[in-house]
Amino acid sequence: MFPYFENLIILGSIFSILSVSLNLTMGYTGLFNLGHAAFFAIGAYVSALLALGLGMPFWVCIIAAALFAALFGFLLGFPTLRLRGDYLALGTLGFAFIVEAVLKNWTDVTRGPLGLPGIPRPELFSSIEMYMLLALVFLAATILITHRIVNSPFGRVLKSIREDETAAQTLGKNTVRYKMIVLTTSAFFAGIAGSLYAHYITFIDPTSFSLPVLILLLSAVIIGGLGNIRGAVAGAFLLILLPEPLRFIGLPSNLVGAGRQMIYAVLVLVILLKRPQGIFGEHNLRGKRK
Amino acid sequence: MKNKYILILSAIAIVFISGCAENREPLKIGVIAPLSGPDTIWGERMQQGIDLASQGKDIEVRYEDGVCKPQESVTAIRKLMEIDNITIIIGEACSSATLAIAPIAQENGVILVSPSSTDPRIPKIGNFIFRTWYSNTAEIEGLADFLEASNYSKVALLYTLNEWGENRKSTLVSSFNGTLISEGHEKDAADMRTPLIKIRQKNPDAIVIFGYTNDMLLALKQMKELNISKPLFTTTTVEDPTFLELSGNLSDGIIYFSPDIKISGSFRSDYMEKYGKEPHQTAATSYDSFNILYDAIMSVGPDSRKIAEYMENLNYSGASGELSFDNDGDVRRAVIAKIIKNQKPENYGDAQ
Repeated sequence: MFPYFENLIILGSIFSILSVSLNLTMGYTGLFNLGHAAFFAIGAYVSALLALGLGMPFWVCIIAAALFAALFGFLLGFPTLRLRGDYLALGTLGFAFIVEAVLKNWTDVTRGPLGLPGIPRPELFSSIEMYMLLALVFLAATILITHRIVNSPFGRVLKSIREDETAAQTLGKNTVRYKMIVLTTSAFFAGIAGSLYAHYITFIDPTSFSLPVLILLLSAVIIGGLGNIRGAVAGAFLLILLPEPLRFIGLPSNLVGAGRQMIYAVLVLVILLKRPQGIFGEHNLRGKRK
Repeated sequence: MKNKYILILSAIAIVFISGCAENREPLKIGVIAPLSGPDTIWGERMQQGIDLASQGKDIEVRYEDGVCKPQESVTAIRKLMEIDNITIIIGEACSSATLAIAPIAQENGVILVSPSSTDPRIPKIGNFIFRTWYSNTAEIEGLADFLEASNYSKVALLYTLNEWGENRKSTLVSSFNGTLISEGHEKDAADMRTPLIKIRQKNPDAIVIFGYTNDMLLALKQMKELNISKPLFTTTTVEDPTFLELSGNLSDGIIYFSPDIKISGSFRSDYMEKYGKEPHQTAATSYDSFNILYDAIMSVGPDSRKIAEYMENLNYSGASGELSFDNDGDVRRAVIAKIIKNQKPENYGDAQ
């Protein structure tokens, strides 16, 4: 029965990498970034296509995935980072839809809605136990690097951008440059998560990265608490693990699906009502400190 | 601060404790179906078929929600395999989810039967992976036989240049024994005159089209403009109601082969009685999937290897018609010729 739990830890780690990196833009810098699932998708597709098409080893795939996602983060920064608040949210959301449309329609490369099956597991890490270790190592690295970033002078500028961008600019900070770096870094980690996801599930299609994934990530960051690394990890694991006990409460067979979803939704609502700033939050969406 | 940790720890603890509570092992079949989310309708049909089939049988059915998503289905199959110790599973409905769980089932020696996934790559994953939904191989082979029986020795093929079209083309190439002139076109083509004129110059006896609705409509229209009037053949895709409506009289006389899924017998009347409506094909294929697996367990026991062998040698007549499995575990169903008359599909035999 252990692979079942190892499976959940792998998925939790992958989504934690995503929520920690999304938190870097959304929680620490205050950028309402809705393009994160698209970076996830780019990472997954780049990695899968390199492995399937060119037979590249896993390490090459995951590095290429991270770099490609980072490149797209950088490119997305040009048109959108001069936008603020709702406009930035819509700009990045637009990017997410474009990526999904490209994945669906560029059928020669991505095979469109048919998806890519049979993505190989990395050789050394083909067993589920080893893959879990691999995912945990990547999660630890992500947490460590993010921790170093946000606790550095660079990180303090990010927080000042979140609190008051104009004030940061009057102090002589080139805020667009800072935002560009943070979006690129965040996309880099999303690319890693995408590669880990593709090589674990072994099948990807455009719907694996559509709107519900984005909503899951946003929920993870908000439930965990904006602007807090522990919060992002806790939020992601909570959202992955919370539906699982509901498999065991013995719902009648015609209520298995709907009942589980309803209880899950109620639990999430209760958490948010009890702690609107999130489990570890120091900063809520309205921009006020607790 | 403490509260936060307690909240998370208790969530994790519930998973572990409840996971350990299960230990007994009665005869069980697992079902992974989309029971929530946008594709619930497929899960509902599967569930209705399986509920009906399992009535009065001494076997426990364990449902898990796969939401038609690879990630959810992977967790669902892990739960069924490792917590419930189930080695026989029906699912998923969607090809994407089935493609994600089939390698896991194969690796762990678990029998997986999908009642509604269409992707041709699924049964090839391994000897434990089966499917009861129809595949297009049989209909194209039926078509090839029909062309040969009608003495059409020189046949032109107009097909879509993508994986979908290439798959169908290669099946036709390997099953048709005459001269085949193949002309491809891009999906959602704006113009098909070039391939059509090439086909006209070769003067074939008949034309086969493997295309999506929009491309088929364009092809028919431009064939009329170019005065190409040859007997036309295609696949079941022609039954798309949008195509039939928009094609007008251009689609008259198109012949194609369709799997002989005729929902029949006591299943239909039982279903109507219980649910008050006509059963969908997926309910019938799910009903058959369950009964095939049940019969297999009853005759060879719950061993996956023996069940796989049993299914490969099976000739089954069930609620969805007659079926057997090929070497890959893909379903073989009898096909029948159909013809489009007045924008409606009719059995070719009746129409003559």
